[in-house]
Amino acid sequence: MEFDGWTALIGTGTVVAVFVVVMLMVILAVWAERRVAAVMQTRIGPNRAGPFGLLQTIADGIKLLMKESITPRQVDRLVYELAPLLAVLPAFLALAIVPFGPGFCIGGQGTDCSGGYFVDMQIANLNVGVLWFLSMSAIGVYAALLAGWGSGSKYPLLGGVRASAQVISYEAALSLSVVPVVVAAGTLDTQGIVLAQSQYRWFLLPLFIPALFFFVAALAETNRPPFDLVEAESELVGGFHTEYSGVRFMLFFLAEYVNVVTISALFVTFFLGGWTGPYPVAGSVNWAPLFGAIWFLAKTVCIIGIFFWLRVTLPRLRYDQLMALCWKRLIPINLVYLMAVAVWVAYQATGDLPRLVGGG
Amino acid sequence: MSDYYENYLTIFLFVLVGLGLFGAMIGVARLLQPRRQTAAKLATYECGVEAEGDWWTQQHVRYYVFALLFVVFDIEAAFIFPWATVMGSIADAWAVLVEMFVFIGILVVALAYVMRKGLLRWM
Amino acid sequence: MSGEWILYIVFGATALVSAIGVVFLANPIHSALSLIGALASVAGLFLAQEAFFLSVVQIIVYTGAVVVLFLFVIMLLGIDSADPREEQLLRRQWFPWAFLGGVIGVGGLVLTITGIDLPFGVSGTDTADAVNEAGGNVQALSERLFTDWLLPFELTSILVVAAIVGGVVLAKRTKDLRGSGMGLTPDLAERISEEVEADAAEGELDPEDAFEADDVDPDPDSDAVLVGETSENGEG
Repeated sequence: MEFDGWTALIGTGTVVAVFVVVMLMVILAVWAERRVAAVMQTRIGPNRAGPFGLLQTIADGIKLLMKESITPRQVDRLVYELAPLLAVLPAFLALAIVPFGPGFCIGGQGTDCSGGYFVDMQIANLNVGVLWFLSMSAIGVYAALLAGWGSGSKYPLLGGVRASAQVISYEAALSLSVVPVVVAAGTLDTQGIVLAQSQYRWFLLPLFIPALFFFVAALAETNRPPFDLVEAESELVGGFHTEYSGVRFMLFFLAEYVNVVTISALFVTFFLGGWTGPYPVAGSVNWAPLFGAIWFLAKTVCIIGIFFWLRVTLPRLRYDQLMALCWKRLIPINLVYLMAVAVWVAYQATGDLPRLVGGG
Repeated sequence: MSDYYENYLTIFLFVLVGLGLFGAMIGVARLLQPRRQTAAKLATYECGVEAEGDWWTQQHVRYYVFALLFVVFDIEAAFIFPWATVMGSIADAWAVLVEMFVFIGILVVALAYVMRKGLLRWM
Repeated sequence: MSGEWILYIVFGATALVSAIGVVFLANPIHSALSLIGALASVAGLFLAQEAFFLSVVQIIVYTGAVVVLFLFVIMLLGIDSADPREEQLLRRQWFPWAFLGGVIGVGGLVLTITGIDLPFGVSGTDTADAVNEAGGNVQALSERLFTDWLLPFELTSILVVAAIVGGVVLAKRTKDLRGSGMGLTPDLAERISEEVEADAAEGELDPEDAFEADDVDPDPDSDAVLVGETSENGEG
């Protein structure tokens, strides 16, 4: 493939498309969360701005943009200003490896798309896709820690240290629950992981425990209830972003919701077969990529829905329970399960039995 | 330009768009927001009363233990992911399997040691 | 100019600037931030060499985990640790070692620039083509790691366990000495009470001041001052 104007255009188009899709999803997610919570608590919820209150998020966003963004006197200016950036940027960057659909060919011939342009429905098709996601969420830890420290205030400091301890702990659990997926798929490439699950060999069934743990760790990693100790109002006021207001406060929330979308999309990629669906089988119809994207987004929305459902249903954990759950349950059990999966895969790689899980 | 650099070029573009979005939001807010600062507004928040004492408090040592464990498991992840990738396709799968199990085993002993010493217990 | 060159120049420059920042910034948190920049730039340098696996691992392990550990250690330090006199003392104690390290570093730099081969160390035989043939970075790396470099790999885990044991011993000792497990080491408490006594002797801490600083306890003894130190009490 030659690098020319078309490649640049396709690259730019993908980036813009992903931004638009994700921002729309975030805007809808904030609205949907409030409506779902309202329904479950027999309230009405936001219903004034636009039909069904759909424009509520936009109204709130404009409000926050127009609010005074106060910078308290005691803050460490550099660290204070940097923290929202370190929250938002890794959140978006992690999206780079989410495969929204199968790749397709424009104007080319054959399976290798000779003479045309192959478009990936993801920003970058990296060989180390899974690790890219993990590295971005690793950088995301700094947002809480630096916001807490940079604020020059007691509650944010406590909240920041707590938040980062929580996030790093669950980061370890999260990466360990992805390992069985990589073992089963035999690749770190997200597109490859989706392909390994084609024909309904979703990893959810054989890898149910890692999937469950991934979800639990995802809740904690994104500071969602029941793991939202970071902003436990009764103890820590607002947690690490107590001293933030106006647009900077909004950016922290934007990052949180982008993280929710990313991690739900990755749950779908790792365990629910990604963009594969009942119709059409990839390549059989011209519109296959579009259908792929629709399946993918539909599955992602379902997972985001579970995030909201759990928020309304479950009470917040205590901090000691949170840490014990991670280090005494999730990580050891994950390691044991990983070993079992590895034995199974090694048995299949060397023995005569047909492969049930994934392809090499 | 190879495929390799092209992928990262797209990511670079993605970074730029992300930075642009951040900058645009801060910039628009700067234009739109009122700026009426008072001493009370700029004060550090402490539930409505005036802030007392130094904000900088010494954090508990237990956080350090968790950070250390995190480093350890991150190092483990760095080794375990390449292993996981080639597990199913490498020539001598069983040997590689045993090698990694020894590695994991040693780390599990370390985790058990920390647990045994009661440092995972929050007090 | 090729992509490699551009990446090399950009990330090399940022690595250098942030490394200088680590040394010269006065605030430990700013130093740590600078260190993040330096380590991330090194990841960029790996990227320029098409070692993307190494690059991502560099971000995960160093930028993501090791600096977080550093920051937690900074958070562990009490207010008193910023005492300039102590810093002076530390500087004087460590100066010979720092000097030695600097000499070694400059020596290494000279050797690298002049291109003299050292009698030890192994240079790799893997070319870019060989890596591609093995099916990419990760595959080539794992094949080497789990065959030729098995012993160092297993020893890594033992090294890591040693680090954990060290950390546990440190944490455990501090915890035991703290009595209730909150806030203070005995020597720190002793030092603070000494300072309080000294201040009281100089008349800097009269009862009225103490009343202002702490409405609950008008008594100017050490407890009133300790409140700031042990404020984490309320958290457990």
